[in-house]
Amino acid sequence: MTADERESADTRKAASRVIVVLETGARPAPLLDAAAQLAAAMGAELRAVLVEDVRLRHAAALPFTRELGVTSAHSRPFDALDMERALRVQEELLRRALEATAGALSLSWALDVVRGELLAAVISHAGETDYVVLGRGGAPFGGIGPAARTGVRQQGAIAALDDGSEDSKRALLAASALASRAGDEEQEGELVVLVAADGPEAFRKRRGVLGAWLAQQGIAASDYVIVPRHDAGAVARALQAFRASALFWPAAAAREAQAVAVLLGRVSCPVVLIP
Amino acid sequence: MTERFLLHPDAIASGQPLAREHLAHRCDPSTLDFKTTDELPELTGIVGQKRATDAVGFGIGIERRGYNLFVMGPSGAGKRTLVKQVLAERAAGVAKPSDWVYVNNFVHAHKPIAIELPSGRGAALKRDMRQLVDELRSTIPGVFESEEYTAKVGEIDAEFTERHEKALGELGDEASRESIALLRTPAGFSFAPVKNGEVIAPEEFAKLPESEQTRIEDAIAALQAKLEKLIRDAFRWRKERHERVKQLNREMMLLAVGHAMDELRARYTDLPKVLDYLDAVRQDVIENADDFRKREEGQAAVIRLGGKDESSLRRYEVNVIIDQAVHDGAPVEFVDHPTFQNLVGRVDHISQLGTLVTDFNLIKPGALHRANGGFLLIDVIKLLMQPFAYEGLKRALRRGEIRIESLGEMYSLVSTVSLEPEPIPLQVKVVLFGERMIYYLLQAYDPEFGKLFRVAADFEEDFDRSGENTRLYAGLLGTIARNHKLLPLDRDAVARAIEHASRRAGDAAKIVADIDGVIELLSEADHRARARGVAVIGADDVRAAEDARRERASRIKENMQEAILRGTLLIDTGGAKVGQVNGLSVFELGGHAFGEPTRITATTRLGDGHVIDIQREVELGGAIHSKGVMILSSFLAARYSGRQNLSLAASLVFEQTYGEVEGDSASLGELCVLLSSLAELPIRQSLAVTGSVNQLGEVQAIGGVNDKIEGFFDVCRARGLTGEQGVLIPVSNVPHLMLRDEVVEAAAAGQFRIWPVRTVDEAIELLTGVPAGALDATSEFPARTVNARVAARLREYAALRRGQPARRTFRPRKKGETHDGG
Repeated sequence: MTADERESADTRKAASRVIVVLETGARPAPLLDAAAQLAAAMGAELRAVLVEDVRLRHAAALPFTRELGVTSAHSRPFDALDMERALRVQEELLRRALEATAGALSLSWALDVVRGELLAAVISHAGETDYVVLGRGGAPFGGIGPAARTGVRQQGAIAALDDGSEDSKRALLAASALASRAGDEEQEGELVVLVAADGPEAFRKRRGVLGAWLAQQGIAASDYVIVPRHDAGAVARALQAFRASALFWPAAAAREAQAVAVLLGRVSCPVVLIP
Repeated sequence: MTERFLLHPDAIASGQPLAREHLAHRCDPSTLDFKTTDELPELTGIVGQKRATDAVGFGIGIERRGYNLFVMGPSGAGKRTLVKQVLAERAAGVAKPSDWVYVNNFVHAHKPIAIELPSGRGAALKRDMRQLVDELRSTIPGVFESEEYTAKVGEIDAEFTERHEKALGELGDEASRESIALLRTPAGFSFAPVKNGEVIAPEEFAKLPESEQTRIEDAIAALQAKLEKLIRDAFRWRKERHERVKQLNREMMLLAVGHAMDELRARYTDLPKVLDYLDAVRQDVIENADDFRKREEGQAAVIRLGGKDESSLRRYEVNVIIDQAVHDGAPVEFVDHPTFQNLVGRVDHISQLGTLVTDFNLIKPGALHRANGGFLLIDVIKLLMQPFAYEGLKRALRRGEIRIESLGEMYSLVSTVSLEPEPIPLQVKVVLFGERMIYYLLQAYDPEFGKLFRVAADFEEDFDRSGENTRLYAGLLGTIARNHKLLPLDRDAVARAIEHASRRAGDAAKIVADIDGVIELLSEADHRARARGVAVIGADDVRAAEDARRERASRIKENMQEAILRGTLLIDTGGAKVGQVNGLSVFELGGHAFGEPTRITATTRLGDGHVIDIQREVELGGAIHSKGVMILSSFLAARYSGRQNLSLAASLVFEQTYGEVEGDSASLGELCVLLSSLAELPIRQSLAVTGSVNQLGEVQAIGGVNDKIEGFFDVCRARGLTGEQGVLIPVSNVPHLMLRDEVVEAAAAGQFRIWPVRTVDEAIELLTGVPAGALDATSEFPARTVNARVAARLREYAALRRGQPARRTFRPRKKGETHDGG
């Protein structure tokens, strides 16, 4: 086996699980869809982790806490019992959605409910071969409206961040696999590569290298975009420009917890962490 | 040729048997100047209907409202043929009327818009609109999928997402500054005080100074108020975004739709209403561009008013309800089943998910739509038999517009959603065909009828058998033969057919105007001629066809004849009897008439001047028959009892009749049989008598004279003609005689006689062989006359009534006497 072949085999290392991590209050459908498609593309198990924000239980115990409905804007009392009941309802709804989504693609699936903080949950649950899907599932106030009525394409580009690491190549392969599923018989889905480079020259070089490597894999990216290193805001802007429906994020970049938090706060599409 | 028959009856000698030439008006083939009808030119007009032809020409020609026609007369007289001929000429010279289409009303969908277009352009508009929709179905999705559109929508979405994020972020930051965390709950948001990043536990919160607790609670309340406002703002932003996207859609569609529409508009610049419609279409397409996005194949096409599915594109269809391109000139529409809906049109419904729905595409035209700008022909009896149809027609004519209305809705019978299509201006000439009785009834009872049908064309049942008309009739026979692909007729056949037509008219000086009857006769004659293998219809073929037709309809006649011959029905054709005479009746069954003798008997006695009509007493006598009998009483009283009471009681009866007797044609026979009874003079049973009589004793014409004579002739012939047999008829009926060949031959041979009579005296003389007797200078009847015997009998009755001894003036009849000499 040559070095290139070893490298290729390594990058194609199959994901054992696709883990979709959901926060309390997140809209599960877009995340589940993206995770299920990815799991199907990678031949992986689909696992959902519902992270209950521990702070909510503390808040519910306070005598004056109220909940403001995201749709009704109605303020209502909110005690510990209400909180517990609401969380169980959310868990049950998630279970049903997961069962339906996974069932449609004949995927094996599982649901875990944990208490704590999101990234801590990710770190504790994700293994070396797991892909982790994060996100809010839409805008904070229930999405941006009736997109379907406007005629906007429902399936945007699949983006992958390249930070020069080996994880980036795995992210590109995974993104490519999802883009292929996102397309139709006539045309594959678009694959956009966000190249984290320090300047235009570095970007050109890296683009050349990636282009050649992707060509070897039989993959063609539709666009290459330069983003400054360690700038989650720039990544978010690029995703919005391409109306990206998912971002594949190498683990090295993802370890910067602050960057992930910023990114998740800025974009509504799923973010897939590649370990 | 017809002059003899045009003689006044006064010129005919009465009291003598009629000569052969009076018994039937033969048509001499030698007067016809052709060998076969093939030589005759095509007859384009209608024979002998000048008055009706003029009326039809006037009614169709005049272009004024209310000048619709009522064409009346007997069936088969050529009413439709004439009207169609006139219309064919008239319609060809009239400009083609307009096409009419219904299109969607984009403002009020339940009120479809009617648009008038020049002939042929209705279908073109329909094609153009379909082409437009096809074009938009490919253009508009392309616009939606364009990079420009996607990017613009992305920008709008990004802007609003950022606005959400920013607002929420700022609120979160503000909360952080107050040491308060913004938390996501499963259904919304909440705030909680934090310390070192952790929510403060309840016990810890309780330990805080009261002022601090109050500060925190106030701060959270303030933040909640801001969040509430933020959520409300989010709704407004969502609506704002929707409007922005719609505005973007309009901008994007304007070019794509505008380009296609401009091309279309250029083709209809001369039609402002079409341009208005196209503008409405443009606006609607722009507002609802999303409807043009491609749907999944196999999606069921369903109608939904105002729906947004695939079938919603039906609203851009054009419903061409009248396409005049198929006509040359003005339309001539004959409606065979003139129901209300078939006249004024209807709105169909289809069932969808258990509900009946409709749209403007389901508007169906009626006969008025098809005839608009032309002519509409209707059988009035069919019109009147259809509920609401006559009223619907009148309403349309009165308003001058066709308004499609649902009877179900008008009478609240159904509650389905229906349409109110825009009325269409109506300009039509209606021609009603029907019987005279209907015309007169409508005139009498419907005040609107006279205003809407101002022209009446009255067709005659028959026309004069003049030389000119005979030639025209020959031409008609030839034309019918050609048009119906029948063999031509030779001149003998034509002559025979003319005689047949006169016989059917019941008048030797007339020809019946029944074209249908002629067609039937010639068709059957043609069948026989072809069976014989000849190329021309001859007189024998026509005669055979006549005989066959008579034979087919003669079952009842033969049954009655058989009953007479077997003695079941008592009819004497020889000998003489007092108070008994052979009357003659005509039976009409299924369009076939035949005559049969009926025994009439009378009995007389002392009484108070009443003649009892037994038929009337048992309500089997019609009003006219009763009138005839009452006239007899008046005659008797006036002639014989001028100075004394008529002290007579008499009974008259039609023996062995079991149905209603109508008509006064037996009144002469009834008077004669009364006189026979009073005078005790026997009546010759070898004679039959027909004719009505007035108070003065004058004999008046009756109907069906030919059938009556032939009916008695057939009975006499079956028993054997003796030379004594015959029939007494009113002299005024002589011009009507068109007797069968065998009757004429028998009369010519002296075996059967037809006696014309003018007065009851002539009749009674013939029947009894005794002179009737006229009043002399002393106002007395001569002795040994019928009248003298009758007067004596009535005087006797009067004396008896006064209680004086009776004085007989004539001896009783001896047995075996045929008449009393006096």
